[in-house]
Amino acid sequence: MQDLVLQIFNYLLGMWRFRWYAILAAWVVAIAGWVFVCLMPDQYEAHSKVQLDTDSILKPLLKDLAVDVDVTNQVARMTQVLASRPNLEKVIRDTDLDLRATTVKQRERLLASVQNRISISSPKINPRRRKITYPLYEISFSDSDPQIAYKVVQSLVNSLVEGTLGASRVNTDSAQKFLVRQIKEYEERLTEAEQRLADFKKKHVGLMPGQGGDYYERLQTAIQNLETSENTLNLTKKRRDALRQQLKGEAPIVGVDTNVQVIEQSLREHRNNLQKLLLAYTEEHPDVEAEKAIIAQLEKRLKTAKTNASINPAPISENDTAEVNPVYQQVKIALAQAEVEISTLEATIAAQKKKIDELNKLVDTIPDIEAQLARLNRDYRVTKTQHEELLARLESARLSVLAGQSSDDINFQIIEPPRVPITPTGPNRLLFFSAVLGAALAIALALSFLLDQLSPVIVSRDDLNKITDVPVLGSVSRICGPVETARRRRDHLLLSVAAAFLLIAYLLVIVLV
Amino acid sequence: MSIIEKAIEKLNKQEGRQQNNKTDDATDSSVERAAAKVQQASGQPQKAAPRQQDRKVSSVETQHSAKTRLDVEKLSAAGIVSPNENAPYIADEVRRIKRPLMSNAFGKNSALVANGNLVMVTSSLPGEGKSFTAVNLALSMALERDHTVLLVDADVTMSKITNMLDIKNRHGLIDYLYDDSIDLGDLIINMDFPRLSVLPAGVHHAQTAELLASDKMRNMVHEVATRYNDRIIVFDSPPLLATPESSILMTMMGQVVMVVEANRTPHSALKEALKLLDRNKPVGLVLNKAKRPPFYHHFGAYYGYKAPDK
Repeated sequence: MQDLVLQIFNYLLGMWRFRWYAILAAWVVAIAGWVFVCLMPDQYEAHSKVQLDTDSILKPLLKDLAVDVDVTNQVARMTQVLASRPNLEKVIRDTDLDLRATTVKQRERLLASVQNRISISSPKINPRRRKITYPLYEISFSDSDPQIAYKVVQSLVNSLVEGTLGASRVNTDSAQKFLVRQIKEYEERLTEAEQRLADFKKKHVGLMPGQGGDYYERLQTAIQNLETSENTLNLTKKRRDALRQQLKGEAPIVGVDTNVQVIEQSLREHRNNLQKLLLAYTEEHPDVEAEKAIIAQLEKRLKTAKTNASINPAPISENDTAEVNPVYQQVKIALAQAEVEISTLEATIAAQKKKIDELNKLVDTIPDIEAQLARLNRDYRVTKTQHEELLARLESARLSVLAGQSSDDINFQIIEPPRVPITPTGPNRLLFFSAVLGAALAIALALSFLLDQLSPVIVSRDDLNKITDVPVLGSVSRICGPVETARRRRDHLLLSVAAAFLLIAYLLVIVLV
Repeated sequence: MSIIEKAIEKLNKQEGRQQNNKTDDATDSSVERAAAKVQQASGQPQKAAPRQQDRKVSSVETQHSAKTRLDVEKLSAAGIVSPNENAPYIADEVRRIKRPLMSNAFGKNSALVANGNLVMVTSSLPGEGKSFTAVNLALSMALERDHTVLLVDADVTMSKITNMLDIKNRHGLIDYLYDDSIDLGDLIINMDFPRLSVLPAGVHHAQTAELLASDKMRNMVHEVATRYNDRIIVFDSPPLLATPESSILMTMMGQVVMVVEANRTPHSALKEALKLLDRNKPVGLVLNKAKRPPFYHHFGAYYGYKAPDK
């Protein structure tokens, strides 16, 4: 520590040589600085406060239907937009600030200086709670011309208020436009898909699956039908054969046998009568007894007729005019029907076989076509679904626009409108004066130090020891004779006076300005 | 100045009293003590009362037996020599410087040093305080009881010592070198300060450089050095960087004292001058006009050399 003090002392000794340079420099810098500060133009600041109000009535109603405008982001974005270059350029144009700048470079500097001088503090929003903790925009701008300051702030406030009103609508407008474009596109695709589907169907008209299901189902159905038909054919054939058999056993004409038939018939009738009589009368009734006698007779006659018929069958003849056997006729009709059915069935079976063959031939192509068809259908369905969705969204966007138009999602209220400032707010001259003084002193010290370092002199025994190894016999202190002492005193006095004057000047400057 | 007058009166009285008493030592001691006391108190070389010759034989050459007055008031008025109460420590500092010189000349190192009693006081640049240092050294050495001092003003251009001691317009070194007819003994001046003799620079001459470098100078130096074995000769020489004669003079010397002025001598000048030094000889640096740093402990008050009461 002591070494440090000694070192500093040595530095001061060295700097002392240039004390007059230092004082001079201090004076020059101080005077120049103070003059400069005096000449600095007054700055006027205009400011305005705008309140942000985001409650809206329709918002909860439309929460899911309409597009939700995010307030937090909007506010942040607003602040950025306000201070952004394009907006500032607009402000500069509106307020005639650009009259000050003619060349491109000047304009750049003007823009930069405006950007520096604008101060916008945005409302504080607590993002978690989505609440606004400090709802004011504070906009201020300072300039040497109070009118300009006022105009700039006014312009900024206007752009803030206007800017937000348009923002959400601009958003939904563009959203709508986008949707409309998309919908158009999808419609086109839809028509295309339909067209393709129709063409396809036209091209493969016979091979379309239709009501009966796809290819394999059809094949199955056809085979089943064939089986059914074949079964039916078999059955019908059997029936025919059976009928034929039956036909052989029957006599077409019934000649001798007619007696038997007649007798049997009258027997039957009389038996019926008997039954009826028995219902009404008892067995001792004369009618009943008469009937019983008739029946017994008939039975005798029948027995003889039958034995006659079995010994002696009569030949059949078509052209016989004897009675035709109705049974025979019926069987014959049935047989004819069966024959017809059989031929029909055979034809059907042939057709079905043919169909099956055809289906088998197309075993490769039909599934392909069906797949293609399925794809086209799917495309069409998908396109259609998209299209419908877009339509729904478009409607919802339209709704939100209407909601925005009617309710103004974000409101601005100008709490404190800008005024033309009357009294200057800056610059802080006291601060600057003091700074100038400080700088002057610092420069003085620095100058003397620099000069000392540039032309170093021996100051102490340490210096000698550092430079050379020649031994130092000793050091003799400086002694001043009266002349010298007086001279030094004068020198010190002048120096102090100069320094004191500097301080006095500083105080004067502060007081007067 | 009243202190000095008082002391002078005292000395006179003493001298008068002891005129009869031939105890040199006592006289010398008391006188010297008084002189020393006054000197320390005032820092000025005292105008000692004229007194008997020195014990040693060095006065043989002084044909100018009338002693020349050392004008201390003038010296102190000029602010050259340590003036007064304000700087009692100057004497201490000079004493410290003197010690190694004396020991190189006569003391334990004298065997190793050739011509150790030839001391040259020089510096790198003019105005650093060579003359001041030379005079102070000479005066301090003259207080040594065992030795005498011859102060030679070899800085013939500036001849400050000659001016300081008010012995202008006297013939001196240059005259001796230039004119063969002049005898050296005639030129040496005895000062009334005990044991101090001075050889002035002489009248300014155009060819000083060559004269100082001549063989005659060399011979003179040699003779002066060897004549008395208790005499120390202090040469006040020109600055090293100003003229080449100082380098030449250095070759004839036994010791070199280089004076450096604090707060004025640039590093570069000093380094250059140091290059010119002959390192085979004992060389020492003296920092002149130094500012005492803070925490400096000076012991000037230790031996009672306090500032006297007015």
